[in-house]
Amino acid sequence: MKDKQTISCDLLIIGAGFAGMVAAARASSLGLKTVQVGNSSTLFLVSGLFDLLGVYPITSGQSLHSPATGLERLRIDNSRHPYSKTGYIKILESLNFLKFFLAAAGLDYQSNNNENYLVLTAAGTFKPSFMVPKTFIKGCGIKQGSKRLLLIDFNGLREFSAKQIANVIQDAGSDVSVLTIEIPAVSSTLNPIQLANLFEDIQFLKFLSKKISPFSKKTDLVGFPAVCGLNKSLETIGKLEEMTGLDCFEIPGMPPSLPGLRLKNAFEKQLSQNNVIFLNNSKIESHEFKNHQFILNAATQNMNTQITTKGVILASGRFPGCGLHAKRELITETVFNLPVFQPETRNKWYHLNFFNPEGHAINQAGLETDDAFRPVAQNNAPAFKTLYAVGSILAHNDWVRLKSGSGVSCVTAYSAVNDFYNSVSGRDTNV
Amino acid sequence: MKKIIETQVLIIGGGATGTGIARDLSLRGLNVILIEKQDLNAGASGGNHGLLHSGARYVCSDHEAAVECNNELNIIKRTAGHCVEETGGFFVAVCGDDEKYIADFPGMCRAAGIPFKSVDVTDARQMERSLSEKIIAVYEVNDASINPFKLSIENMNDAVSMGGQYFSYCMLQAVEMENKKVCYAKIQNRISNEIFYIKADTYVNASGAWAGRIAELAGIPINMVFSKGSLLVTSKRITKRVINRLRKAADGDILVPGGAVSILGTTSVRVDSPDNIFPTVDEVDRIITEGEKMIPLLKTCRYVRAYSGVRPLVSKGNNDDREVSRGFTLIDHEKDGVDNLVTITGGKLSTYRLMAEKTSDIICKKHGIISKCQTKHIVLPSTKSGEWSEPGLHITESVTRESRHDPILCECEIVPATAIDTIIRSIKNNKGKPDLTSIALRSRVGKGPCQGSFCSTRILSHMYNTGELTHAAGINDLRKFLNERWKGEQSLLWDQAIVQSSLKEMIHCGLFGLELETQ
Amino acid sequence: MFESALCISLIISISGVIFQLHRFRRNRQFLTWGKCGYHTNFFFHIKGFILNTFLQIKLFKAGKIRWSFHFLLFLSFLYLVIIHALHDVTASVWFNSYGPMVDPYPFLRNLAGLLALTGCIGFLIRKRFNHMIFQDKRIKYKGIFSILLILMIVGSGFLLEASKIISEPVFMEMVDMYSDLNKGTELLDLKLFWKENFNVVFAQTIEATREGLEKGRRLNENYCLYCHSNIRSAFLSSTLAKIIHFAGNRLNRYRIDIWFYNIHYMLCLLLLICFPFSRLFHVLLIPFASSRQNLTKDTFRENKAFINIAFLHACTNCGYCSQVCSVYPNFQITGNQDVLPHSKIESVKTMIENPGAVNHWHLHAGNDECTMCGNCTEICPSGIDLQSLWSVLDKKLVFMGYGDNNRFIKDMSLKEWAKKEDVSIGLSHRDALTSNLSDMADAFENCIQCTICTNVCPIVDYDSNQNDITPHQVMNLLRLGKKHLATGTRMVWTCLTCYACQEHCPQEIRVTDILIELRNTGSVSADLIKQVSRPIRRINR
Repeated sequence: MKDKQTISCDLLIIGAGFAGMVAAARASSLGLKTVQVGNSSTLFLVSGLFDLLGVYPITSGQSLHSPATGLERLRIDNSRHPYSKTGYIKILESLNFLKFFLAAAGLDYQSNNNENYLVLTAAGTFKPSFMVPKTFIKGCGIKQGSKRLLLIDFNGLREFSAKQIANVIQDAGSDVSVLTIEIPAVSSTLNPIQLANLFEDIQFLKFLSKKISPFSKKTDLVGFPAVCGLNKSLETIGKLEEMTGLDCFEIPGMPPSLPGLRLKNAFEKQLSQNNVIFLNNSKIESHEFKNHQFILNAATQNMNTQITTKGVILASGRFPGCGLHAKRELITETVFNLPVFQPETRNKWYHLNFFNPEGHAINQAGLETDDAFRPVAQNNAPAFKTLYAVGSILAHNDWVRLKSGSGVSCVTAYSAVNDFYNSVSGRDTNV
Repeated sequence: MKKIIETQVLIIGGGATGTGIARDLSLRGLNVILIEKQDLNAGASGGNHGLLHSGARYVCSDHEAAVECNNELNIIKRTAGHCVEETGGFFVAVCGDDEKYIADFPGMCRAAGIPFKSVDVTDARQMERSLSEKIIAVYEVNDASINPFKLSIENMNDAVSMGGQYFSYCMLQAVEMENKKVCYAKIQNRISNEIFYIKADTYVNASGAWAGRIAELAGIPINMVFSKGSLLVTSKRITKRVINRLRKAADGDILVPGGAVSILGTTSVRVDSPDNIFPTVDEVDRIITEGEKMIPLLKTCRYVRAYSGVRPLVSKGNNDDREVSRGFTLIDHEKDGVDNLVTITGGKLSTYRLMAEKTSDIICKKHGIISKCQTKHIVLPSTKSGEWSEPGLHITESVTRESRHDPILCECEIVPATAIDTIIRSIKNNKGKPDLTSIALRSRVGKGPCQGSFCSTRILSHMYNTGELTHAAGINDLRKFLNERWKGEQSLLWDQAIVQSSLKEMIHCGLFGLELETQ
Repeated sequence: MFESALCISLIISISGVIFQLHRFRRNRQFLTWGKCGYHTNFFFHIKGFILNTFLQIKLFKAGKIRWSFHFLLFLSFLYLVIIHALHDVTASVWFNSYGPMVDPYPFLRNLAGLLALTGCIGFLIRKRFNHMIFQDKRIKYKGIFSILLILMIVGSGFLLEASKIISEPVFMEMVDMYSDLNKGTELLDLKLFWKENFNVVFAQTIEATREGLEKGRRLNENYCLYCHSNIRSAFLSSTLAKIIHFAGNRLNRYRIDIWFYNIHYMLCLLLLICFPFSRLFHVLLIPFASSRQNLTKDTFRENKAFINIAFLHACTNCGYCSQVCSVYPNFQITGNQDVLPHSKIESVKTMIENPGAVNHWHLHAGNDECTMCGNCTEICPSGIDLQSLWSVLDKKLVFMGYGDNNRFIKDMSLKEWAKKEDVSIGLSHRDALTSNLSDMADAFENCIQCTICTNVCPIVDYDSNQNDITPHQVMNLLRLGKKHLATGTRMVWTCLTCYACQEHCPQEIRVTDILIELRNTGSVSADLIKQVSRPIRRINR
């Protein structure tokens, strides 16, 4: 027998990925009584970098220097893209809101005067990103600059090779040396979170700086895999810089990602302070709408929760978040069974070339919305007055290829919550 | 100055037949070189079920092939037992299948001397729990599954140990004729683009689907027909035995277990060229629709990969490619005016040894050597480098490995770093260039559910750390490898597989930006 | 002749007692080794004797009905032994008026005999119908010998008495001994009187007349009454005599009474000889076992145990311990007799004498279920400190190499496990080992290899060098069809069930539930392996 409980609230947020978290952050900041259901573990899989628009047009095959210019073209080319329903200023506003929200939890982000950073990745490539954690900042100028670089890796951290990065970026003319830190207690495999735990220990930092000190004359900048501490990463990097006398930065790599975990922890900490009720691992099993209210059933393995709410933000993501489900024949939306924009047949879902510069057609699939991000039903009118869809579930949005995932999630979540707040309270958040 | 390598026999094509011939001739004391324009089993030898037919499938269409299969099955079980899993097989008919075919089947088997046993339907469903409720007749036969990669690797290794040589990524560009004989073979190394010549006494064209093209270089026309067959790999083994549909050969009617997975196939689609073939969405759907009639689970289970192979058929004017005899074609081109060229094509994996034997007989005759085929009796030795291609069978070994300093690089299939090192060494021994694709060919790397999303980066890191890779070569290697994997994935992405592929795109495109032009 | 037989029996019996006590002493090492020293000297506890052997107060607490049967049997048999069997040195000396046929002694004897019979029959009925407890074959027939012996002694006693009642020769012997009546009518009258009133059967036909009877009664008063009361007070024997009356002549002719006497006597000697070797010995051992401490639960507070080999033999296999055993339901499920204390104690006895005959794994599995609730010690009518015995046994078995499955699996390498598992468990068993999650592909097939479960696992973090494989690798093993390998991995057996992996899985795979299930499956496999493999180490005597 499952336990039962009932909750009523102003706003229910379905999904605990990046978009869901931003929506919960905004809603709770506005003083709405907020309930969130979902699985926040998907944040382990995000890079922790906030992209706005890194590539445009999609076929350009180039990093975009200034997102603002790309955005202008995007608005002209594709009026159905979520960005076309909002503006650059709005996007910056939402990112700033997020920046301050996270800063309150001790996680600092920084942007670069409206230009994209080029962030060095574990593969040795450079990724354009708009706003990055402060621990990444010092590595962002490598491509242009002529600094001498020292890259650190650890035995047992299988997915990260300093030699690989050094080899790949050496072709671009950088002066790179590498150092592998042998951690005595590790046999074959070191998991990123285990390693991050070691960074919490001051003795380990001393051990590290001792290993690095022979390089201090021939290097200016030290790059670590992004595992420098669980939560106080900036502090840890600061300590390392103090001990070695060198600038340090982190390099993002394969999941599970520590920057993603830090994001998860920061959100969860702030949201629980803001009294957001989080039903972890719950799934919405049924829903009905009557008397201007949604009544939904959220279920876990041993608990059924009946939630009565005025509005719902659907931030359940695309396939990995289970917001969309691809059957052999078609793609469906899993909670409200809303109509999904998608290619006509499965034949057209994918190109034969994985790296096809146009991107795969299925990545355009998703929910179509009105200008307030309310998903529309067959008749092109909003399906429900107070149901919003935000984040990657939105159609016409190949966020992977355009490097625009965080930006889209952030601005749509922010705008949708604002719109709901305005409609419920009669006030205007813009004022 | 021409670089010329001399040998007695040059074999063109590194499939099961080519490597089989290399071993057979080596055992008879001849000096052989095998060239392959890609790598071992790049053609149909790698694109099949891995099924050792009991012959029962051919009893109604091709009596001779059925008898051959049955004989070869027993020989291969005996001489290459370590490449074979003796699974046994079922022929099952489901409600609505051709009653006459079902009724004729036992008689035809008996006529071909193929052992079979009628099994009660309820018993059969006890023995294979996933069988459909709608099955109406079941016969048990001696089918077995074989690992064609291991087979070819081991055959080649054995030939190499007796003085043979193997050149991978070496493509025959032209032949120089002289006096009704092939005199030189002009060969291009596709990696270094170096041109060199091989001078042999006899030349064997064992290039399977490409046999027509090779023969054409010597001015001989062979009218080839290409029939593409596609197969699906499940993420988990579904049955203990091989499950055949008891009906006239058609789409999606064989499910072969191989180690930890099952392989469902196949289709038959006429294509113009044996190059660049891949399974299409339509084929995938057709195979599953047919397969689920025998085993309903096939509708819902997770598939990790689809691949295609081309059946090389020598045209005789028939329309249905399955009607064309699956027997092999052996042509001594003396009749065409080229004395020292022999072409072997067609046939199937189950009879590869017989094909090699017959070809070797002709070659020996040309060399004036009287020597009996020994592959019937001498057991194929097992070597270290072949064993990592076994799907799932080496797992116990790697999980219980002694060394604590041996990280697992491929998690899905549990392949440790030492295995990768062994494979790299053996590739280098064969003068090959180790890269992700060639490692994947010789191991289970990239064949699990993640299809290379994670293992590729780990192996890349490992290869950079051990100095196997330098500069940006690894990034291109990664692109090539992921794209190669993708061809097998893109047609079957739904349910869980699409989650995995989304993650793959998030990592390799979203974070690493591999789709962008080289930065 | 009878005297010498008695002497021999007595010697055998006494040396038997000495032998047994010596044997207990010799085996005392069994319960002491290493640090687990338990006191091995044993004392005869007077208090224990009075309370537990004589009054059987623990039995009284355990069950009133059984106590009454047992106590009456005990008391009546004691009466028969002391007053009846040994009357030459007891009753005759103590009581002036004593005579075997003088009231009230025939009545008391019959009553005691009856009570003894009732007790024996009660015992047999309990044996027969309390089958749940007495399923164990080793115990099923235990004690039957002693009971049947008592039954036969008492029975033969009654038959002896009855046959004497009807016996003419005995009558004539007594007439010769105690009267001067030789022939003639007087003797005839006495005969008539005894025939009519005391059921004696005479060969010759005696005319019954009123006067004759009257005369006979008077003669009886003169000669017999002094030391021979009315036969009716021996109520059971006289009834029996009436029953065999019809065949009296023939029985008299063959002197059946002598036969019965010999049988009765020999049975008694047999009882004497068997005393140290049969169940009856418990009478002597209970006072040893019933130390003051062992009579209460307080023993455990003092954290001391009083265990001795001799105590094991004080066990009467009554089965009360098993009836109150906290883990009796476990027995009902597993069917392992060695879960139950009364059966376990038999195994321990066998283990000492003949280790090869005991399935140590089985015994350990059973003993492992014990929750140390102390119920068995509290109820044990013999006052044995069973609880301490179990804890000693547990240590002993682990010491001998028969640890629990956790230890069993951890002690072998994964390679060994894979091999053993493969060899020991046939396909039929393998099918029986199917369970819910770990056999259903959709339970783990969704894994996307993100390794979050491994990253958040506290065991992996703490024990990365000891741990062979990690949670996501377990999922991969399942997909690769290596469930049996997974069941032997350290990960499965060290899992804390903190559920971090399951909570964090983005694909909502029930990682922890699967790990727990694998551990259970592994335990079943280990049990099967143990059944196949022979015991590893023998007891070090």
